[in-house]
Amino acid sequence: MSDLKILAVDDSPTMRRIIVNTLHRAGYNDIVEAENGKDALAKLETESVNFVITDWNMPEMDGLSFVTALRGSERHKKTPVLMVTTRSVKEDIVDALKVGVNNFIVKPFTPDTLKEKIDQILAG
Amino acid sequence: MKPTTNDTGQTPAPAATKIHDELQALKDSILRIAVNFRELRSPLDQSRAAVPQATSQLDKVTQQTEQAAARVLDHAEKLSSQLAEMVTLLNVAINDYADRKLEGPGRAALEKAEELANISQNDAFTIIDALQFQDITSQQINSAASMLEEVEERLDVMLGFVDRGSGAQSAPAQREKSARKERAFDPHADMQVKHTGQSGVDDLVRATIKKS
Repeated sequence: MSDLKILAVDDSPTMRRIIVNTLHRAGYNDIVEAENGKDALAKLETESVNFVITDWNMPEMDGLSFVTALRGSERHKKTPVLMVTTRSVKEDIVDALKVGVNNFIVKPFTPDTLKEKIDQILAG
Repeated sequence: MKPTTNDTGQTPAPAATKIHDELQALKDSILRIAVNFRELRSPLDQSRAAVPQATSQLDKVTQQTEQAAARVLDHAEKLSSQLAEMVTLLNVAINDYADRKLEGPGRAALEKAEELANISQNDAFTIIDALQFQDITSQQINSAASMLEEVEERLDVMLGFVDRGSGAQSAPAQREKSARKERAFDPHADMQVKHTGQSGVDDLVRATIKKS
């Protein structure tokens, strides 16, 4: 149905499963998972990911550092990134957008919101 | 002990006696303070020792709610998959009725069953979505555990003062920071209360895109 290969990054196994389940319902079936920014960067070396959904607060490498590293790489400097996090302080949202996050969802999210934000990013 | 005579055999002047008395009193005070410091050590040590026990209990809560959420997810996913199959089969039956131009209670029952299966599948999805609470509450727990670990560090500092005050030679044993779990959490994580709701976030994103 969709040729999108999505990398879902979250340190919570529960949240990763929920995101994957929600993506399946929205018609996205090619999904790779990572448990933190460092794991995500390693997965990006071997998987042809063309969309990233990431949490912010993660051990070893948080979402902000991960997106900064992503945007610093030639291969992924334009890969769409959707941040899904509990953080909702305005300054945090602005910081995330500054490092190159394309859109931002505050947890807990609804399936409709996740699909809507993916569609918005893909529509440019 | 009061000096009775000095080296020359003379009784010391009143001022010297007074100074002696005051120095003796000061020495006694210092000894009492040292005793108090030593008495402080035990309750401080007990409080400090309680922190890793408390954080371990909190971590257990997170671990067990994560396991429980995984079990609920297993069943909810299975249920939604079975319901999806049921909807497909019911559609086959309904279409068969339609193709054969059959009406009556049988067809109506199949249509009702399909409707209920769809509703149940949506309920299964709602259960799955609701399990997001586990991520959010685990962040709240990590925040509490982190505060306890800060208290532990302050108790270590106080124990250092206490040991110096009581004249102890060795530094208090401290739990290595590397022995502590690395905690990543949003201290404001909450199921309901948000600094900025999704619509506020959307406004910020739109404004940022517009600027660029």
